[in-house]
Amino acid sequence: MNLPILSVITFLPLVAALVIVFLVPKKNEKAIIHIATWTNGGFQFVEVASWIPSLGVQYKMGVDGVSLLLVVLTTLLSFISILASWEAIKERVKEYYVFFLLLEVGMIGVFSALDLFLFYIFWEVMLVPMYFIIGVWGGPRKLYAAIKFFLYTLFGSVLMLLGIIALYYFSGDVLGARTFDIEKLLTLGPATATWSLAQWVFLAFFIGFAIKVPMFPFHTWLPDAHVEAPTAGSVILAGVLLKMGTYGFYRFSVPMFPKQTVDNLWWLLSLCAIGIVYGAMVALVQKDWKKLVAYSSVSHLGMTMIGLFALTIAGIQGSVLQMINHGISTGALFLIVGIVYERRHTREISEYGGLAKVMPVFAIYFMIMTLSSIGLPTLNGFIGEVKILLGIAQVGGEAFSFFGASPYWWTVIAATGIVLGAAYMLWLYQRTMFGPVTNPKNERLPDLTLREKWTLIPLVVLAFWIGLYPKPFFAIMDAPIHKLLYEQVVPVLRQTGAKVDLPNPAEAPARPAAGHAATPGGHGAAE
Amino acid sequence: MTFDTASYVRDLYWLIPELWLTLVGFALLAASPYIRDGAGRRIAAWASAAGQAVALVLLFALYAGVSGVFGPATPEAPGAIYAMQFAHGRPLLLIDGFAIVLKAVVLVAGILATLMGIRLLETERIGRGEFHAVLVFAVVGAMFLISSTDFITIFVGLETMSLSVYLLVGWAKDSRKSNEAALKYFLLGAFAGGLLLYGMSLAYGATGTTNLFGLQQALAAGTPESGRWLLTLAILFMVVGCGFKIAAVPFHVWTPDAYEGAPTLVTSFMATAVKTAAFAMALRIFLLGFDAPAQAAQWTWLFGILAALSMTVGNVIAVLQDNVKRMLAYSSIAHVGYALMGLVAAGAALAGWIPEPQRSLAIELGQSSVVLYMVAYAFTAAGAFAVVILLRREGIEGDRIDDFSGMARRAPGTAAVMLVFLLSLAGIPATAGFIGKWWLFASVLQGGGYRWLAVLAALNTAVSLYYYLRVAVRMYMEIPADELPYAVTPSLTAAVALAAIGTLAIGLWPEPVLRLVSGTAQLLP
Repeated sequence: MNLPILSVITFLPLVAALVIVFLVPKKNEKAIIHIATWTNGGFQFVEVASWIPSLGVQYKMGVDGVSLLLVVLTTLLSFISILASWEAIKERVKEYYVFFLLLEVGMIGVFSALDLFLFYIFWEVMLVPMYFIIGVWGGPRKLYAAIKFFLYTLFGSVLMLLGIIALYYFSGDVLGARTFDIEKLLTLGPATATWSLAQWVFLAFFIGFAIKVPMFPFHTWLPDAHVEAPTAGSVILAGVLLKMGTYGFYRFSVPMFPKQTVDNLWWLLSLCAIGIVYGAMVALVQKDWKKLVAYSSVSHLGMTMIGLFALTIAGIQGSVLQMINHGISTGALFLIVGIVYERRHTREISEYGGLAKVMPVFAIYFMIMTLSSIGLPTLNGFIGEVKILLGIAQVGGEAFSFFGASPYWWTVIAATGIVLGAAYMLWLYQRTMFGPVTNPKNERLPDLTLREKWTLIPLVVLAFWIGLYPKPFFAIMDAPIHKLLYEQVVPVLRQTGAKVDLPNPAEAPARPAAGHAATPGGHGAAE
Repeated sequence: MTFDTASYVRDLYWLIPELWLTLVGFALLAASPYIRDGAGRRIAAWASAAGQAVALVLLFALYAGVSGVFGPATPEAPGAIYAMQFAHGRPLLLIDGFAIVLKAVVLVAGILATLMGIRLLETERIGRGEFHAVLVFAVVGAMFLISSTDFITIFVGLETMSLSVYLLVGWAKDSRKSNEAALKYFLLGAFAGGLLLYGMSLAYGATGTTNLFGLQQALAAGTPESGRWLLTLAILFMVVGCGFKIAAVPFHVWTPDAYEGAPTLVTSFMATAVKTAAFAMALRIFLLGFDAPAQAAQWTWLFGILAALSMTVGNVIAVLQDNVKRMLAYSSIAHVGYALMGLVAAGAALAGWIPEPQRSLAIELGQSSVVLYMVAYAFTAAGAFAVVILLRREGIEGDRIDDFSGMARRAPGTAAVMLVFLLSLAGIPATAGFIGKWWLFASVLQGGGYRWLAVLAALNTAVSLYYYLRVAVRMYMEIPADELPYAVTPSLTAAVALAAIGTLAIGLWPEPVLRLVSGTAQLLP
């Protein structure tokens, strides 16, 4: 008598989740078609409604190519995460899916908000469900990890809030009316160059985003949160949440504060470089499978950020693509850890060995994702990393030279990260997959179930797609990136005489008709 | 002075809500000897709540017909709907937007406290009928205080409210904690009242008037050299007196004990209604009376320090508490620190530290941000205290943080609502607390040299989240502490629901409240 009711209650949110997840990408397919034929780099699908007129706050949503990619990534990974939670979440199921769906709302909202106030609301509201997902369904040290996650990110975001308010007042001085409209705020780049508070506001935004990314030395919440979160939580954390930070840099810090970005480049790039090498080194010595993947994120995100701060077309393209790539490969790696954890309830690497014999199908998926993560050609990681290296190799000028050293050193350090990445990932694979089955508990592990395969297949397909034919992805992001660089950043740098080698305006390529025209910048080299 | 019947009647007309409430109080008092059993006490409580609700309706009915946001300006006090005068022609009581909104806050806080406490008073066996009469008198005192613009009326309103609240704090006369709380609160409160009065007398000595408008004019005309020191001392004493009344660090020492020892509904009333009235008093005295640049420079600085100390000390000590009422007490001290930012912002503008195009806007914003924060905090804090009352059952004190354990399993709805209150206290978006904090941050970030206060408040927000989440952790991540059913009653549910609706409505659709609050910013001529 009670059973059906309970089941209905239990699975209703799941049905809702499926409905939402299936509906959202459908809408976005249309979006992709739109964007393929669209050339101006502005925002699309803009919805505006009045919300709090006395504060100048609107409900304004819209996407450009970059945020569209991130929205699609979010919906895909949320769907996969929910699929991956079927077996893992056995208690308080209803609350779990409710929190998960709220989380998805927050994440999509962050990427598609075009009003800074609205953006902030999504940004913060999302913390609450994530806190509970870690804190209720997490591992042994879940309380510590959950509160650390919440406190760290809140600490950053309240400082960012001050920055947002300061920017709001500043927009009144420059534009005549105070506004939170992101489209209007994006035109503030030239004005912030001479604003007395700009450095402080830049720092406020920096702390908010850097904690989220996380950039060294703000990364210490990440290993705890990733390790203690349930599998689906880790996938979302790594796949989407970290991208909110990089997206913030891309969307706000760089275009609104071009001069401050360049002024601070020396330490920004240094933090990225330290993050790349430090994250990889620490990953190398991990004994815990999941922690290793978590630290690899620190390294990969350092790579993503260094590409963005290169301020070249190739670098930013690589950076944006690497956001997607990291979501795919690290998301998949967390799923893989989750799959063995569900079977053995341990993540100690030394507990495993020779799994390739017991779980051959699993081994194939794991191999593909390992190679994707270390950037093997034909897989997605390669394209992103090569683009970033190309982008950072093109830079020049005093702002990029650290105490007089050649800017090429940034490329060298970034490349080191790739080498180390190969080392820790392949070593992990070797220790867990190859050799004899040393632990008798591993002898009878079942291979992947159909559901588990289907959580990984979409990611594998995407990894190969991006690796073999990345053109559609670049086509989507091209126009916004050109707009960012040639309309928002370069003119300001030229005007303020920044110490970077700037492309000749005559050489600035005409905006490409996406999907048709030859791709500009260092783009062709990657293909 | 000739007796002018017409103006006398007009004066009474604008005081209808207060008069009505006084009648309600006396009726409750008169009825109390005949109330012997539980049913009668419940009826008295509901009658008291209904009486306050009627006063709320009367309050809005009075001003509903007035044009504009809050009516046309009168020559004596621009922005006021009605100024009640005395022989010397200066307003004693001001009925303006500021007064209306804050009186409504006090009434809502009174209604919520009355509703949430019906069962509690029975459990604690302190449900004598006079209780509600005294509570209503406290509300009346608070309402008078909010309207007062003369030291005489301010002091009368303040003491009417305070004396009633001293009684209420010690109402559980068999409880040692309650007695201790009442004694501490009374001694320090009386001391603070004395300091305030001394400050007032010094101000009178320097300017020859007890009226805030008179004071303003006297200061604008310039003070002789000999009066300056008197005024500085007056400001010092009044800042200290107000500091005691609003419970700002370092004048907060009575707060944790009083909040913990008082019956929880009284705690809720103190944290919401009494605090709101005390803030109204501080805003009136300093933004109206001492608005001359030289004086504003003095008190702004003092309040800046009080704000910084309150938010930091309050939050840090709250982290260490295991008693939820004590924790909320320290949290309320921290919130006083946040709210003082608005006063400081307005003061910085008055002192001339913000140049003219922004100056008047900065004053308005600073003032209205305090009002908004009081509105937001009243709903949120009252809700949180109401949930604490839910845990008070026969034999279980229910005021430890551990008593919240497992609430999400036992009463998911209540736990979710409590989570909303906690997040609102921490200032997380989509709740009233966020909107309130937003305006406070916005007010100090305009300039005037107090931007550092906003940074400090932001860091404090992160600290405060830690202890609010401790309660959330108990509710959602631990197994129930006991099996005894929660003390759910219809009235308590109604109070919690009202507070939750207020908290979420202001958080999600703040426009109406923002409009209302913007209309309160014309307290300064």
